[in-house]
Amino acid sequence: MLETHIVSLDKIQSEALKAIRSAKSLKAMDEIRVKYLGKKSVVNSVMRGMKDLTPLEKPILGQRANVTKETLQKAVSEKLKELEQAEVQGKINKEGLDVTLPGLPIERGRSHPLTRIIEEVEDIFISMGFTVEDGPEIEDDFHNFEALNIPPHHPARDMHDTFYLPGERLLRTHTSPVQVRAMQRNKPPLAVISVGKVYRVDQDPTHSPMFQQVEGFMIDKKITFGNLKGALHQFITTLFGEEKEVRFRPSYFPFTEPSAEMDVKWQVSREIDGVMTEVEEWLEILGAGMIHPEVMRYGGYDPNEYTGFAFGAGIERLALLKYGLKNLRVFFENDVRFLKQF
Amino acid sequence: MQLSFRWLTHMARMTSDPLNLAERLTQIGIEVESILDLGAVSGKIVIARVTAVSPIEETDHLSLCQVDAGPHGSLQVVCGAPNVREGMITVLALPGAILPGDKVIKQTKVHGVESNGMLCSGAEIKFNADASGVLELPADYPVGEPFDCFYDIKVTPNRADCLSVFGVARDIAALEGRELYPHQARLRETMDPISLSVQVTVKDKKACPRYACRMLRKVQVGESPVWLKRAIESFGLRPVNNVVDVTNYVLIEYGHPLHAFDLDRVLNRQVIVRKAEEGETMQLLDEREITLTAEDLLICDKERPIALAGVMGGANSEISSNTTTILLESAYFDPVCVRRTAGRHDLSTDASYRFERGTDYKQTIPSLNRATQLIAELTGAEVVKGAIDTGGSMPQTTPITVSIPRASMILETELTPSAIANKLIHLGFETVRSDREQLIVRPPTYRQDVTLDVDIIEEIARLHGYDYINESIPYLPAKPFTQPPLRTLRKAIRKAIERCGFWETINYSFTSRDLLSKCRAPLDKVVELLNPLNNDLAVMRTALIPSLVQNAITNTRHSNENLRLYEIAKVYERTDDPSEPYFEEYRLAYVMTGQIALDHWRDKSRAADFYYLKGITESVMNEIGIETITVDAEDLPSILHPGRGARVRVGDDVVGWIGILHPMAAQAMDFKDDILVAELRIERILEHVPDRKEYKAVGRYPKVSRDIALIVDHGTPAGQIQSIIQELGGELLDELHLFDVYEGDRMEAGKKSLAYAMTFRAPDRTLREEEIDEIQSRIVAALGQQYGAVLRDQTTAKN
Repeated sequence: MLETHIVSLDKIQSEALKAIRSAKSLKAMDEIRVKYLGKKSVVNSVMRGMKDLTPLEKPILGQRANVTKETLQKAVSEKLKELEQAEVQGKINKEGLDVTLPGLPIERGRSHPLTRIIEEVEDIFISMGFTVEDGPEIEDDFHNFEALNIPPHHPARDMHDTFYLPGERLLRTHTSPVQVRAMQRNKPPLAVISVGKVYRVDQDPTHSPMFQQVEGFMIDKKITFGNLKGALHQFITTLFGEEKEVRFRPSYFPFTEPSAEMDVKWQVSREIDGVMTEVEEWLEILGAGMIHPEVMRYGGYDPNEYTGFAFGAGIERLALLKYGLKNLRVFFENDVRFLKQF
Repeated sequence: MQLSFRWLTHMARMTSDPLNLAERLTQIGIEVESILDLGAVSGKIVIARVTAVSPIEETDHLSLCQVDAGPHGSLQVVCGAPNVREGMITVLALPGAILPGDKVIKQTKVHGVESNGMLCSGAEIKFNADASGVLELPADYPVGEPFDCFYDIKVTPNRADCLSVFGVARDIAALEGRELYPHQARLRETMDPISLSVQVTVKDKKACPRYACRMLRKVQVGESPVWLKRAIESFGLRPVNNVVDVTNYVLIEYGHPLHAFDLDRVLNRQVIVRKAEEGETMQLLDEREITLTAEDLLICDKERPIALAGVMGGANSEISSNTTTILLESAYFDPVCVRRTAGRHDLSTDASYRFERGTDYKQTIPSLNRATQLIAELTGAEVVKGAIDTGGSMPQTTPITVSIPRASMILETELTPSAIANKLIHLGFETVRSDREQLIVRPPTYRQDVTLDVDIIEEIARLHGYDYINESIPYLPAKPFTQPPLRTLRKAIRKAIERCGFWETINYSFTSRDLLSKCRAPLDKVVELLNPLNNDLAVMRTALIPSLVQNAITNTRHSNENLRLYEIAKVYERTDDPSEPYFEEYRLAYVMTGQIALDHWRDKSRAADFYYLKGITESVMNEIGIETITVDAEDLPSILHPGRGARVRVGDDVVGWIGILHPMAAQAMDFKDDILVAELRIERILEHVPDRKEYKAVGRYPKVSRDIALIVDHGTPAGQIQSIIQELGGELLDELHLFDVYEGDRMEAGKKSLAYAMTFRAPDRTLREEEIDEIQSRIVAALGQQYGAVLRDQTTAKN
């Protein structure tokens, strides 16, 4: 009996292995699995004959049947793996793309070049320990002029051709009013910058009636003119990404004393004897100075105890230099062909 | 201010290279903004003497000149100028010289005659406007020397003392440690004193603290000599006659404005300095008739104004060729008074420019005498004895105490009182007292700008050289910086809208009333500029959309299509509150035209529509932390299409508007297609941005999905259906998605079907189907009751 069973198991096993080897699809494999390893499989039907065997024979047939099952299971799973891979491979073979066809456009916009400069400028000063403040664009005479030591009828008002509004208001001509407001709100040590739109009655290729200015100041007990030079030189070097030669020269702003203008050495093209030649020129880049004692007082500080420096620079001017542009107008034309270049 | 290099170095008694001097001037705060080279820089335009002139045969106007050019030799030059003559000193452009306008001078042959350069007219080298002949120079000009260059000098408003050749020369001499002294006039006077002939009354001592004058008789008015004409022209003025030119000459030389009257036309020879009567009129030298106010200061004779004090003379007392007697005025006028008058009448003259910045009252008499002497010499006039001088209280300079340690600290330089005093003395400062700790100095009268210790510190720094002050890095306390929330929000919005494909624009804050009106933007509270540049920039923006629409149109005209533009900027309006008359706030505006994406080989293009705009708006709001916005079509601004616009709310707060630009606005702007526009109020949005987000557990239990299609009336707003589903779905409704809207053949007329995908999920358990069934039937019942909604499959079942 046992013998017969074992022989038929052997037969089943070799038959099954042959079927597995020659199976061509996952579907065929499914059928094979049901036939040989399912609940009603031929192996199980051999096993059902076990009840007729002696107790000694039973485990022998059981072991033998298990060997067959394991062998078949192993063969099935190996074949399945093989077939699955073959199927994936088949899919891959059919899936060639023309990768040179254009990609789907994912359009993202970007900030205006002036905004990018502003963010760079702000980041540089923030990294140096400055905070950022904002202020109104419609100002009164006091904050725009008087608190900055520019009394009415002072000739320095010629430097600020002002747009006036009814009700004794004006469009701020510089961001300096923010300075006075920030001083009044805070205690030294204090380092603040403010960036924003300012307005002057002026229009030509290098002047725009609206432009943006960065204004900053630092106040503490022993802020020096050397600090002013050092901080601003570092700012320019960082902004333009390379060491720039700068110079400071005397100037005049009613709200600073001593006052200075900072020039940066710049490579420019000039026509010399009919030939375009690269020459180095000093270009004016920002105004600065030690905060005037009167402004200190307006801000609520004792000028004998505290000193400070302040500076102001035109964002458009920095942008012209950084991007090598000649005319301010392009910034406000908002032609997307221009905007997309930055 | 244009100054001649030749005159300046002569005055400063120095020789210098023009570029080097310009650099040094700039370094002491007298900025040379540009240089017009007339040979001093290139060395190619020189002073020359014409030694022989002979006509060239067969030409009607050309002469062959032999020219002595000093070290450049004796040269043969062909010249066409009618005024060229033997012995004349003029300007020679040597071969290789480049004249303004890039004309290059070459060795050439004219009518077969060799010409080794060009004798130049004033116009050819931009010295003056005269192109009628070669430029004649004074006989004493050094032959062979490079001619000159003009500095364009920017004098800052505080440095009134530098508004003259002498003033600039004095500063540059001080830098070299030298002092300069002004001319001392020598006058030969008549026996009869001026007081017998002229009477001066100053009625307003505040506006005119000092009035001085002299009288000259037997004046022969005529053309000025060459040296005077050239001097006047080098400053950019036009020669008039030998009297007026002298007054201008002294103004250029010393910065002190003078005025000459024809004394015979001054009624009664009586001068009255008084304020004008309101409404009084006068005719100025430039023939303008002006109406005066009670604040204008006048110089009058017995009856009428003869000059607008410190600004311009009157036509009635002008020097003419017939003038024989002159009254020469030298005064000190109050700067503010002159400034206000000049501003009021829109007159800025060389005189008013100097008076309003503050002239040196000590220079009143020396300048008067200097001019008197020159007029006497040039016109053969007789100087009447003495000068009238009302004197009076002048602005004083007060001694200033400078703390040496403080100055040393600020300038990071070791300073000593004596070293400072030695520098300041050349600038005319007088040491009052000095010890180790402090220095007391009195500034000169021409430095009214120096009043504080910091002013002295600037003078020290200026002469020391800003370049010699070491750079150092300041130390700040390590205090973290909390960004102002509005700034953070603006940055976040910028990022969010750019992610949606929008490009930032920056427009002027002012615009035209016309543009606002065409775009149907609000005009009732528009802020108007009192002094706009032009009509296109006359009012402040009340909305950003119009500028963006204009940008879109301009871009379209440049064939840029499918635009997505945005701007973050302020809008402005009037308020009713006199103490805060204006309101300004930040807005975000964006516009779109054309397609969402271009036709692509894989995807078809789709036109941007309202729902796309709404999606963008939701995306931007989500990005900044606002999870839900509500839109409705209430109270739309007139800028929007009334049927295709929406109000955007966060809770009950209206934060902006989105939609299609009103077709009338598009038509007025001459734009044919739809423009999608949106404008959001950033400061309002800020109030709804959550400070922080709270963590919510991510569901671990399986979701249950149900789709329902509801049939409702065509006019039922989907938003209302959605909010009922949301409300009844409660906590368990995790997601709600409208995946189809159907109206058409397979639907009863006037009805539409809305198909929603609902996803339910509980945070703490697996949901049972019965729970969901119950929720769903409650939703369907509520919608049925409120909107007559029926489930679509029910209706199909009935059919």
